[in-house]
Amino acid sequence: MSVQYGFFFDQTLCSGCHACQVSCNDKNDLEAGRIFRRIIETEGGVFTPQNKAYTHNVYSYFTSLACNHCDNPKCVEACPSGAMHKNPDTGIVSVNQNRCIGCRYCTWACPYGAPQYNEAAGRMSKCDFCADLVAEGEAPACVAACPLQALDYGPIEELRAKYGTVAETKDLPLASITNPNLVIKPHKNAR
Amino acid sequence: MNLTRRSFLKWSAAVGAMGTGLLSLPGCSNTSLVDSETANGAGEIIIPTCSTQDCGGRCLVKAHVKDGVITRISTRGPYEADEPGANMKACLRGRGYRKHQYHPDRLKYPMKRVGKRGEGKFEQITWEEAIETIASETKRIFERYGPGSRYCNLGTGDTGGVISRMALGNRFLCATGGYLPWYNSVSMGNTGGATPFIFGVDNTANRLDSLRDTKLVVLWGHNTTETIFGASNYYFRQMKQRGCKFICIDPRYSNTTVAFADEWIPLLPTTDNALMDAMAYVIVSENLHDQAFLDKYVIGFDEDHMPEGVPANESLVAYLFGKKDGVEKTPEWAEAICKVPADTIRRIAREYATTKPAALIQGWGPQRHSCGERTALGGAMLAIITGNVGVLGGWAGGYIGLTRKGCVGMPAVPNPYPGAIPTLAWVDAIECPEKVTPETGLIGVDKLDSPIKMILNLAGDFMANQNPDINRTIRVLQDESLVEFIVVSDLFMTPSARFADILLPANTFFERYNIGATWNNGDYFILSQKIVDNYYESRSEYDWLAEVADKLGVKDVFTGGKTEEEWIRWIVEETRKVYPETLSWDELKKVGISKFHYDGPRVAFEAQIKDPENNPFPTPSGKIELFSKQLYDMKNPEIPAIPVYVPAWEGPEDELTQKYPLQLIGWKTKARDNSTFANNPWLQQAMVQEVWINPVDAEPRNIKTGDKVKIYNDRGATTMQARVTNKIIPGVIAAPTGSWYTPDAHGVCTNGNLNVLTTLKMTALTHGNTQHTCLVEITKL
Amino acid sequence: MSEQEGRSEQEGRLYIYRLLKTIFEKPLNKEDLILLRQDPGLEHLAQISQGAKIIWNYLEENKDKDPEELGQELKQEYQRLFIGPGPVLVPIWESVYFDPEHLMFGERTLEARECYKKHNLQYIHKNRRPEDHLAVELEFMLFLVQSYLACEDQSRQKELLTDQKHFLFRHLATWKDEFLRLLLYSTCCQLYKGGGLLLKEFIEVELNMFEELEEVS
Repeated sequence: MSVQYGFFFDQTLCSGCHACQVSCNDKNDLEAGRIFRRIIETEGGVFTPQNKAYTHNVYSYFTSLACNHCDNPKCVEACPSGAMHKNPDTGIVSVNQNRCIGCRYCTWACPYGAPQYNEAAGRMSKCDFCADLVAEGEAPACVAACPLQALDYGPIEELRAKYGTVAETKDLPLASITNPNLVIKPHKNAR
Repeated sequence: MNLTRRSFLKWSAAVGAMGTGLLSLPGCSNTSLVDSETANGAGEIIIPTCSTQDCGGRCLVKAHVKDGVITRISTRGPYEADEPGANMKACLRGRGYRKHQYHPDRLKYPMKRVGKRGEGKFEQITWEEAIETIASETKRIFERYGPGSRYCNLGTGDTGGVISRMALGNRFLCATGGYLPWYNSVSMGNTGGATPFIFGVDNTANRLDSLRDTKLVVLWGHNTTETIFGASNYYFRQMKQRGCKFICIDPRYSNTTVAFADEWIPLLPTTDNALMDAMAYVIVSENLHDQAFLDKYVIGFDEDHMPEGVPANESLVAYLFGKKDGVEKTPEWAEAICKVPADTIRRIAREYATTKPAALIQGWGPQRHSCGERTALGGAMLAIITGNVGVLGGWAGGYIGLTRKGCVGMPAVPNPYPGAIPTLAWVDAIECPEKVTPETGLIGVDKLDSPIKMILNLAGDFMANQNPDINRTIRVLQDESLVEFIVVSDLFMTPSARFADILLPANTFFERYNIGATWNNGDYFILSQKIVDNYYESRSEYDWLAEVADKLGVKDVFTGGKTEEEWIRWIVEETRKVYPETLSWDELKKVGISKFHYDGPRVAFEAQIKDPENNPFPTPSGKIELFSKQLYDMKNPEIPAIPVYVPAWEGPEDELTQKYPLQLIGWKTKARDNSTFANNPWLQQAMVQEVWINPVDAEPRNIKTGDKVKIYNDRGATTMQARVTNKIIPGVIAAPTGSWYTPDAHGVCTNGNLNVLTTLKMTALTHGNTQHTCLVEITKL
Repeated sequence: MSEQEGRSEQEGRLYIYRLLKTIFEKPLNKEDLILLRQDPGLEHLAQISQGAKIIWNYLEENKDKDPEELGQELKQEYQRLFIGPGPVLVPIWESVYFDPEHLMFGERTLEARECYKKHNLQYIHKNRRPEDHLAVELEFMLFLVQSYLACEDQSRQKELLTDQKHFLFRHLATWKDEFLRLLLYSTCCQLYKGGGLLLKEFIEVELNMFEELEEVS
């Protein structure tokens, strides 16, 4: 029985606490520099003097992004050895360590920065949706860790029914490039 | 030439032929590996526990243990509907505990100082020698200088536990003749000291679950998303989803602002009262205040409701309309001071006054200032004039917690010494004790008979890291003729540990029993279990303090006849007598969390508002004292009778700004718990020690993001990386607190510790700390 | 190789393991120093091994120094490098080199524990101190070599050799280089520099021996 898993991210709630990243690092034993779930801080706006005070239109939000296990994963397309592959039953994209030659073409192809080079192993690595946990009915580490419940996971149809179909914001790549299995609730300044 | 197989074989043969081939060094016998007794623990067991660090979000962590080694820490899963109470899910600090536990730099053996104090040179000694030295020095100093010469420094390394190391130090000193205690929380002492003048008590806030239907929350210098996590996140998230509006007033665009704020209102630190005054002006002049409430419950609002013997025009209304000083506290007046535009002031004043109910919640940052007391009272003032006191969904002010159900404590050992000093006076008490007087906060005695001669510093890095004015502090500590004996017990060689004469390895919360309490954020407690053996020769302070007490003939006084574990069991049992729903010891060991019965949202002063006749406020007048005659009689311009704006010393109106034009504040970061974890490289990846500076200030100084900068004033200097951002208001720079002081040869901190810049000067009323009030200059290196 | 040569070889291995263990287990005291200084085995070893030579030179250069004083210096240096307080300059526990967060009591520690357990051994400070301390790992090799010498059953001997090989390849050999690198970077003390070098040289000889054995078998 096949399903396509995806993530939901509520950008209106994320406080940039990094708990998702830290729990992912922990679960995957990642050394410094290799990050499967990246937190990006965005800020904009300025202060403008007004009379003797300041007005401002400053805004800020965080984006937590791992791998979107896309429908058209460019990383898989780019991979010369067939190491990067999409699981037909779960839709999860992962790296076959035996086949990977560490050429890093996938890092050029992925618009989201998901593939991460593992120096010690000489191979690529990336978010694998905590496939082992999900198989046991548990949530991926990042989803479980979020203290604000800003992350969710599940079959993409369910996520879309629950949260809508927005899969891009003004500073994310266009969804049409790779058709990410991501639903996002954009911050009011990110639409 | 390197050894080869061939040369080795030849050599072996030759040495063998000598007949005395085998070395007979004494150290040669097999000493480390012995017959194994039992099978290695087969599977993995999971034990629920918690830390006892100084954290408001007290969470449950699960230690995965294999054969006596913690292999990982996991947390509670995705939200469980924990009504009521915090969700107790670990933040990134909690996830990092294992890194703390098995860090190679953990202190392993007792040490004694060799070389000069503060140099950081130590030599390993036995526990026997350590105990002997501590006992004899304790005795010598007591006999020579008396109880007032002994001091146990503030340290929050484990003050989240019902039994804290710091309290054990105090206990030991009480048991052995008495000591000089400190008073004043450096976390919220100014609020705690000032609030009773308005309400009669200091516990004046409500429980977060009482805000369920609140429609407007103003978070005034309150960054709980980063500091406390679980407790407030849980409620605020629900409130936000129900449509509650959040306004964050903060010089910095904090992470709480990101997650919750509908509006960010930046202002200059120490000008909060100006903003509050102007808001009050709008509210009163537009008749949006709750006159009925004020008439019934409050004195000091207007001329008709003033206490006896006070001249005219001392009321709040008189002040707002400039009856005495000729200045009307309009939004235009305020905007020049606080930098919040007048239109904004009007708008939020109206919003706060007309949204019913509304909660104005102040954090502890705004009160950690030279004007901190006035700021704390100002927040209460706004709540009072809008009738948000004692009503469900409102917020009276004060510091966050309302006393909740909690565990019974260890019965205290009385202190024969009657005096006490404010927390920040200890440096004076060492160097110039004649300056520590009742006028400067000494209580219980008229003067200090002796300077401080002995310091216990247990589980804390306050002494030389979190204390203000580090340069002065270490100069004093380095003088061995002043303080004669310093004992430090810790997990790591912290900046404070460098000043030890005897340095002891402490065990962690994984290695001993305790109970994790909350900061009044939840009706529960968690059993902190002993899960693994003590690392190397580390010991619980309870154990070695008991041994020293034994040498001094007072073991039973200190221990009360119980071991540390027995005390924790006792606490659980006694708590059960008060709250029968408390779990038994065995149940606690299995599940960790014991929840008290929830009996509805608790609101401070509910009774006083519902039935004032029978429940007067515990103030001299029985009412809320917006005007306090007690404060009025002090006749101190720093301590006005009504909470109003007075320019703060070392604030933006101080002439010192000519030399040091920028205000520096610190913020408590998610990656540290005060200064604990600052040596955890993995956690520090989650944040960078950098100073935020607005482009308006950065550009003229040619500072760009990533540049190394030096921040300095007359007290000292520190360096770190800069981040140019609009998330901080112009005129202010900010950096995370808690970095470990790491001086270069010139005493300049290279690690971004802010306390080289801060002052030991205290607030006027409470004699509390003023660490965020700090003028500096910054320059590119 | 004759039986006598075989025996000498094992005793030679014992010698070097013992020497290394002595150097890294704790600071040498004055008795150790005096004994070492007089040992002909070490003097000869110094002629064929760079590491041993440095150790020997250290002893030579300090031969007129009061052994008590020398012992005190070594105590300070040992503490500075391997104990603390403060940042441990040269971690002397295997798992610190392999654990993603550079912690003690990591997976490698538990693996070493299993190896010891197989021979009914456990660390005397089990769960207080990690048993992948260099000196303990050296002692384990010592034990395996002693057991080999003491046993006569061929299949048991083979087993012991297999265990030795595994422990060397999987454990000692994997961190000796990084350990040496940190040591050379952090200390000027020739005793420890020589010791680290000798460790590397000897382990490499050991690895060679096992590779040769494999070719033969």
